[in-house]
Amino acid sequence: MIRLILHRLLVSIPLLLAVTLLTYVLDSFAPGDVAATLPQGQTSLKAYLALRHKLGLDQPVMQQYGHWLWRALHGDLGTSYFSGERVVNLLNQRLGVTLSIVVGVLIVCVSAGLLLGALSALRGGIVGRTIDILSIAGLAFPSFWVALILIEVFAVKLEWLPAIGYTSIFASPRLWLMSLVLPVLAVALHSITSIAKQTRDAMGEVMGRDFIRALRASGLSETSVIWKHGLRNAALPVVTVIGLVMISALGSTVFVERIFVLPGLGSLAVEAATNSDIALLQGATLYFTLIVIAINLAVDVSYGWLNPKVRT
Amino acid sequence: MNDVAPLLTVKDLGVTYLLKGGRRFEALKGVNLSVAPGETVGLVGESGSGKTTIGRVILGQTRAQTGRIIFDGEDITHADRARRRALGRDIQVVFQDPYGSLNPVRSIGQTLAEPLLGEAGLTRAAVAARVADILHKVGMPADTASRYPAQFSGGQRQRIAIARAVIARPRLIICDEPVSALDLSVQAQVLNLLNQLQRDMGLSLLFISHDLTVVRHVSRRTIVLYRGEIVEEGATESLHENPQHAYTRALLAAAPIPDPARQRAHREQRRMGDLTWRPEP
Amino acid sequence: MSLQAASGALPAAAPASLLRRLLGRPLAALALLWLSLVLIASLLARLIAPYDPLDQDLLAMRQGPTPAHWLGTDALGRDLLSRLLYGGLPALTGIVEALAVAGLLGVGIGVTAGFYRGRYDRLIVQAVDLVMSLPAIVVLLSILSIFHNSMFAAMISVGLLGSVGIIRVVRSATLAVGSELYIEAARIAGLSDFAIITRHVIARIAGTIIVQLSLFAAVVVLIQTGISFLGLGVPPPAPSWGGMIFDASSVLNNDAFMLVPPGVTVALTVLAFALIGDGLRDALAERWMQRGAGKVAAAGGTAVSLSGPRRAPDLEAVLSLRGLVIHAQGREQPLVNGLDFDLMAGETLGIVGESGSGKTLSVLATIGLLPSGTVVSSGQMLVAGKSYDLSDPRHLSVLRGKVLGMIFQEPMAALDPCFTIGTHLTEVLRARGGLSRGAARARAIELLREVKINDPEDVARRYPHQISGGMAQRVGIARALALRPLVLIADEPTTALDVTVQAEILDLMRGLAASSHMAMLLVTHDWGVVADICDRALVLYRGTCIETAPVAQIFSAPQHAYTAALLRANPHNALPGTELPTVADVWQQQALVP
Repeated sequence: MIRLILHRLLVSIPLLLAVTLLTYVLDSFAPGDVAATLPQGQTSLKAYLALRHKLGLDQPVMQQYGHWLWRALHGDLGTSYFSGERVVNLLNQRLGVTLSIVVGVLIVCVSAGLLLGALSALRGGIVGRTIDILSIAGLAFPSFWVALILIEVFAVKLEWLPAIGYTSIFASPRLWLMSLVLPVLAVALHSITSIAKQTRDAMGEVMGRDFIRALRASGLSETSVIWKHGLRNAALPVVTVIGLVMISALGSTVFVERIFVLPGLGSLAVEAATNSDIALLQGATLYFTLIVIAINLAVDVSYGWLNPKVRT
Repeated sequence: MNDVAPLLTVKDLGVTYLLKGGRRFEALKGVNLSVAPGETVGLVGESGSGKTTIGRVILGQTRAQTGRIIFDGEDITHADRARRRALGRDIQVVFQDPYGSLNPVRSIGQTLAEPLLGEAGLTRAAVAARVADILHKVGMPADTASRYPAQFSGGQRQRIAIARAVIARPRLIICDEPVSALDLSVQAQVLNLLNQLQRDMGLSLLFISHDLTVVRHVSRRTIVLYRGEIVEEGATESLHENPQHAYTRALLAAAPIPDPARQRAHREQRRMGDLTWRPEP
Repeated sequence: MSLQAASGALPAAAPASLLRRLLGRPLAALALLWLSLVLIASLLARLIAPYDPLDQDLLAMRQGPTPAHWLGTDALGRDLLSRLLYGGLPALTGIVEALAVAGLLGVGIGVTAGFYRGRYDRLIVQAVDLVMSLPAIVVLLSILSIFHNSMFAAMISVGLLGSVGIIRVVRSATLAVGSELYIEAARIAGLSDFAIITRHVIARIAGTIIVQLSLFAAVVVLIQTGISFLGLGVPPPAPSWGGMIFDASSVLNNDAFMLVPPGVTVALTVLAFALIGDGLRDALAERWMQRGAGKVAAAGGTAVSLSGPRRAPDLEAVLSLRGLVIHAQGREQPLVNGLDFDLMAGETLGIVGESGSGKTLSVLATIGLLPSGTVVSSGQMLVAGKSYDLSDPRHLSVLRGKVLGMIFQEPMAALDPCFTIGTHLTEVLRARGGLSRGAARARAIELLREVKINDPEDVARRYPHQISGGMAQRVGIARALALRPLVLIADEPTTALDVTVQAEILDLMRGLAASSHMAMLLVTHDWGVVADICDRALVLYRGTCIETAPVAQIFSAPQHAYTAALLRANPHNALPGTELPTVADVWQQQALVP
């Protein structure tokens, strides 16, 4: 098990290097780099070159990347071209919001998805059909559209929850929770249906396997056969899907943070992209990649924990 | 069989598989055998004996680490791809699983035409005629060519698989457990068909099976394989009547006889003579 | 030349019929209709749009649907219908671009990686894992900031990023197909790799590829809309579906209707793409999936039926079955037709038959575990002094384990791979035997010892994948015996095992039955097994019992010609090398209707 975790961590290093290098090289081709950020009236060639030299942009790309990596390892991701603030500080301020949404989505969609999926596999009928319809709707409507509808219904019409904005958990846990409900729902709706559908398929497959009949024949109760043996085996393929669903949910935070005006990493990345703030965008990419690595690690660990063939 | 030059000779064949975690598994350890033209040789062994591996090496599907495969005087152990593809017309195969061996999305006609692809100058009409002819030979209706595997039973599919094996008029067929998945009634039909085709076409068969009884029925000579090694080889009748190796004796003793009285005696003999096979770990 | 010659030998299905088959599926037909509508309307937007999409009518701002503006207007008085029509083209162009990239790369790389395996495949898997871990939307933001607002660059990148998902699925589908015997047969037949890939692999996984591509197209619609929603790619004021949703979001408080036209259009388009893949896959498969049309009945198609006065249940018997009829749902012809048998104390009864005879179904019916799709139409069972109606399987669960124990054909598949051998036994002992944790543990070890497992403590700690098939069947027997049942039902218990292991398992079963005076019901196709262990045999043919007698009599003087023919077809009883009498001959020679 520990070997499994070490292996995943080891594999993550080239991933991290590749992602940062890729974005670094891509970004080095960005047109109009820092010149756009120079104050009016200073756009002389001399000033421009001086700034490029100061930022190290006149060096070869690989060398720049090496410097960036070296500083990154020491916790320094440079300064934002746009605001002049340290990138690490900007990112750290925003991390909590995005993590709150991701964890919220994880909790909601795993519990609801597994339950609904298992129920529909066993019952079929109305539950199954409802999940079918929901999963089609969950797939078809963009998460930002769903977010807008949620705002319209729960914030504008019913006035139950705040439409936009974020309250820190330290300021008021209750308001923090309320500010998260709609964003989490908007993202989770899509994820719940994916997980429920996967659970249903996996459960349907597992319940048809030979050992289920053998367990029943040995005299075990239906409850034990379904919830102990059935769900445990069905969970294996589902865990992998949960990982993929969470990575795609992470992408959805970009939209949802923008709509609900939440100060998270996603909205920061969009700002950085619109302003061509390369240093900030690189930092944001690094943070997103780190979250993905954490998700993959969690998937591996739970998979190993659930599957004795991997563990032993 | 020594007066005729063998069609196939396997010399000192060794195959080692690399398993996960760097462990090695010796599937075959220095196997020697030969098949004469028109001869059927039975190859008997249990799971893990390496009997299927021998077939795969002869067919070029698994690489031999040591030893040589000589077909009709030519060393084909390390034949290149072009030669291998050409050999497909001379050496053919019938597998155990009649469901997995036919591609469900290809019509029977398409499947049967495949071994003929290497023959230059065959027109469409000629291919269709060969397909129709071979279907007739294996006792399948003429409209079979336009149908798909899902429409046939296990026994019928095995007939089709045999048709594919013989359509290019090969000289050697590797039969890898060809009747193990079939019911007794169908098994008899398929064995009869193989026997008849072998006589009519002068085929050589390497008949791989776990079932001594089936092997006794089709082959004059039998080879017993255990954990990658040949433990006994000889004329089928004498091997059955007077087995030399302890494993062969255990194998014969373990196979039940379809006759209650004889089986009771057979079982008592196994117990008294301590013929229960206890493999060393 | 020869290639064409070969394909000429096959009567290819007429190409026109695929469209017809597709239209025969209501959902796929609707999806196709909607997509064609969107395509035509987008291409003809210039001609059919009532207004210029940028024309502002400040006198008609934020109107709901009116006769002049069918879908209403936005905050600047622009006609929503016109903007929707003009927004279609960039969306569809994006799909085509992304789909082309992802399809070519995904199928090309996926198939070759799965087909050739080895180092190339490992490299691809690493690369796929890497790209899968990229937060796609963040990469897109980078791309869009570099290629300033270029939807083309974004969609090509979406294609690149999306191709890994397709590579993954296509690769694993190819891996599965690649280990099929027909691929090996094609290789042996001398086909080139290219021919094998195009004729066998791609043809076989075409359904998977189509579904993946159609699902990907659906996702691309969402991403394209998302990018334009963020104001990137199609910069405002140019019309785009995503941009219209953004416009709607800025006036949410006043006019929520504006969300509806673009939202519904996007949703329907996504849905249509998702559905059309399923339809195409099924329509493609229809050609080769149809079963049995040409199946020739093995025995001349005569239905066998035995009728006679039904005897009353035998009160002396441990288990007495009367009038068991099993049907496949919705089929007229029964799978098991009026089966009766009595199993006496300490007796081993063999139920012998070939595939399709209904032998396994018959014993599964006694414990109420028929596979779905099959039902007991009628049948009574007298066991342990009580009568049970087999057509109501709910009441049969009390019998499982305590009265009727069962072992199966595939001993490994009968064990849950996620739990240890010990757990398999203790959970039954605790749940049904009422033992404490410690007592169950001790009893489990004892049971393993009873089935002649040498190191029971060690085996109890192992998982199913760590033991051999013969060992797994011993564990299966231990579990079946855990609650000391009156009857052990064994469904082909040694068919999957080597002959030397089979002998040991049969010895074990014989010994256990004798020592505990347990009755056994043994399902088998193997006359050798019948001769070895059974006291009496019952021969089933197509769901009907054609003969039942003590084994000595069955073998020496079979009453029914079918039984006699089966015994003669066994090469064991034939002179080596001679023509074997086949069963079909018997049915043909004497139209056997008992």
